Amino acid sequence: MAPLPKSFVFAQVPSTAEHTAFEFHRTFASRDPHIHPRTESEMKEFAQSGQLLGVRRTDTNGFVGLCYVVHDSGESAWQLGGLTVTMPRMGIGKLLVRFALAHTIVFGELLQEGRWVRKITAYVHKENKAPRGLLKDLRFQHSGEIVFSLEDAPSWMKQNAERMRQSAKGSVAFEEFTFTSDGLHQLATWFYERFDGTLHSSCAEAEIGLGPIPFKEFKEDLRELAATLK
Amino acid sequence: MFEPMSSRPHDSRGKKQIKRGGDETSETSMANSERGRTIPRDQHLQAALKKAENAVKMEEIEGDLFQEILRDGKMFLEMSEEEIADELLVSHPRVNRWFHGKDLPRRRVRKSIVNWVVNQYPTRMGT
Repeated sequence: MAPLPKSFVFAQVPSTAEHTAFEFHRTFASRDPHIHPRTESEMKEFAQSGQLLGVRRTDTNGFVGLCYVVHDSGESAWQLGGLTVTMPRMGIGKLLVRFALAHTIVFGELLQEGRWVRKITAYVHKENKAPRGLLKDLRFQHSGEIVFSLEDAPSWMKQNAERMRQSAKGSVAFEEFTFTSDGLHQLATWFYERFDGTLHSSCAEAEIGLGPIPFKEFKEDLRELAATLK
Repeated sequence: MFEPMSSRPHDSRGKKQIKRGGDETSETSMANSERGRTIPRDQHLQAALKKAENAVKMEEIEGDLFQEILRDGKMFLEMSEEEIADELLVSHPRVNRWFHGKDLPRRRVRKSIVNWVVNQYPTRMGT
């Protein structure tokens, strides 16, 4: 059995890695019917607009995790999705989602004068039980159930209409979860007080890659933002 | 965009030889002209660097100043917005929004970016 990697880097996926990221995503999406398959052009767009976050092992530089937080121009909220991790039960997925949320909140325009101007939501396929525990832990709140007919589906879903038509017989049911203010407070506190640069389950090193921006300053900004929430 | 330079005497003898990436040629181009007077690029560069260094010491860097420092950096470091975005590990559209004042990074991130710009001057200029 191959030894587990000793360290990982969590960072925004640069546009230079968009193809590798797409291949990683495609491998998962083709196996798991609950993962909404994104097209290569969508993944390219996510990477170019800084909405794709990934985890790479430092020994091989290969992806071990990916997710996105995207803003569709037709939607009011940002959408968290596409979480895929090749090494389960190491805490990689949870840290990746925490990082993706923090990154989106610090760099995006989600909060103004202490109020949410855009929320972050996650759509989970009704039959997909896997991410619910994670979303609950991170204080996402169940905010509705949506059944999309293929005709009324949002644009991001319509692009995969053919696959849905085959699997969902004309409609598809999702549950919607929304990231809460309480979740933001908890996230900021967790990064500030509890994250020690390791994955607790394996003690592997978990570096947050922000280029020349020190992580210390990033988490301070996150904490300040959380403190402004009314 | 640039600080007025009129209080500084124009002394061409004080021009600094700037090396770029090992290139030994001296930089003699004139960067700007204000009120009919040409300001040497080197003076302009020094002023830009000073401005950025002073900003790092501030409690908070206002949006306009941040934008100016980024623009100066782009010009004097001879980097495109894409190159700056790649170095900062942020997306190009985001950096573009910063350049055009449509968005502003958070306070501490802003300072870290200005600090990065300051550190790039000697690195990029090879001085």
